[in-house]
Amino acid sequence: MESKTETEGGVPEWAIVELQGLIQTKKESLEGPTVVGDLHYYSRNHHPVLILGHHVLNGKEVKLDQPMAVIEKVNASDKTEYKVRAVVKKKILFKSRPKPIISNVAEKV
Amino acid sequence: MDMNSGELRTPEDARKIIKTAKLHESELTEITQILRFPKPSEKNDNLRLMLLDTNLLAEIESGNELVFKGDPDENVVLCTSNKTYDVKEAETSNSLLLVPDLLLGASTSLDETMKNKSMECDSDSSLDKSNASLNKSTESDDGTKTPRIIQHKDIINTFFTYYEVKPCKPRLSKLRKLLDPTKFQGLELEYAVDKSKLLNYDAIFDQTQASRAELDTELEKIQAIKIDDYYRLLEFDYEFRVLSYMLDLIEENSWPLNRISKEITLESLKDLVPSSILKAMFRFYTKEAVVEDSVQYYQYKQDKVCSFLARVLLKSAGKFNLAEFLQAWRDSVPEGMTTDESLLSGIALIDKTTIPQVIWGFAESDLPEDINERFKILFQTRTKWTVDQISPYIECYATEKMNVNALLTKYARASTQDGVRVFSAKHMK
Repeated sequence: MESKTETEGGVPEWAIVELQGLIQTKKESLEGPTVVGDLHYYSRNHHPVLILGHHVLNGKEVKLDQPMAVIEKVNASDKTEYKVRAVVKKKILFKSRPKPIISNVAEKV
Repeated sequence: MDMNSGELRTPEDARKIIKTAKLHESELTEITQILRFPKPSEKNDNLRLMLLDTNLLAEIESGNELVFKGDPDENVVLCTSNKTYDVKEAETSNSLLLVPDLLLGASTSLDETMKNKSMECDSDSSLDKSNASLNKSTESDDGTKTPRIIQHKDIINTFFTYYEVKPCKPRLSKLRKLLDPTKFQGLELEYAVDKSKLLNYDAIFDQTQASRAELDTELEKIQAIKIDDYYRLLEFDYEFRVLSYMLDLIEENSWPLNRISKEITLESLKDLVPSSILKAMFRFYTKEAVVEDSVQYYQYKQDKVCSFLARVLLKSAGKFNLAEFLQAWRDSVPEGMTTDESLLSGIALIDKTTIPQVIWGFAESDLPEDINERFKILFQTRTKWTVDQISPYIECYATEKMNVNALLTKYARASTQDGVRVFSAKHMK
């Protein structure tokens, strides 16, 4: 088995949002995208804050110790090729415990 | 609170959520990124994450090709043009959400200059400002004061695993096995070679877990010769035959050892040895010597010639009287070349405790590949080894991180015998 990775000139840079545990959505729409949460940054220090369902997560922008490549498996005729779609050099890390939103008036959005 | 309805958020939605979450909009930058799982058909399951080192990143950024290699029964490796990496899958309990075009903090603020100013502020005034904005935010809950821009960003996939890569030695032991079945034994025996097993460069490259540069070095090292597009090893007896033809020319032409003529060697033997083999053999066994009247002369690599001729003598099984062997060896090499016992390391073992002293062939290439098996055989053959004695048999496992001494510490037991450090089997039986 032999396979190749290729880049097409300038490689885009993507980012990773790292969360503890996993996200479960109540229902996933088959027709369209499913909203996960709202990502904001504080103006003051650019720390990210993610509103995820009933939780608020405070995070940090982190430079990866080691950058990552995003590679995509492409089936060529006799060989399996991987294309480098992007590189990831930074992530937004949410490692603190999510803070529940305590609200007396549950608002429908 | 049902966050899942509707695929497109409006600034109003975002403001309501900010408020519900008890955050203050005025403290946030103006762009809200709505993270979404794309509809299932757009999720890309063919993506993988792979950690890079600086070298791999540079290779990727300059658009060079990387190659994954491995048969189903081998651990996959990743090769650049000149390096090999071990690839392992690692797991994380965190979710890694991969988001193309995600904006990081610095790029979500509309007014960069404002931001820079507030960053420069000392903490006191920054606090003031933050208080001020807090008040403002309570006043302006209807959200008309500050613009809010909504950008929808799709999570192209969520990962719990990624590949780790680690520079490793190329896995080249397979190379000999690939080439062994088609050894060249002389033109008269070519009919017996299974032509379907002949391998060209691409076939060898595909099957060997090494980069091109590493493979090329190894092919030269094991003396693989390109004959009619296929890479072939020379059978030992045939190599001896060709080397003998070549060495005989020294005496025939009364050449001094540093006045070997390549031209005459190739010309004299052209009817006896195929040209590709002759040229390769000349390259393997000689090095450049003097230039006279703009003619390049060569000399044979004394150590290589002597070692090979020692192997010829030791080829028959069994032990030899050391003194007799050394005499026969001296007689077998061209006049003027000096044999030295040190050249026998990795080829033969000498026992000086017996009367008479004996020597027998013990070649590194004949030992098992598996390191545990190999140490077992080594300690069965001889219970105590010095570092110098054992090194040639285990050097092939040494890496930058683990040298021969470290290998011995791991796989053997050290002790001192007559003031000399020796190594024996780790577990006594």
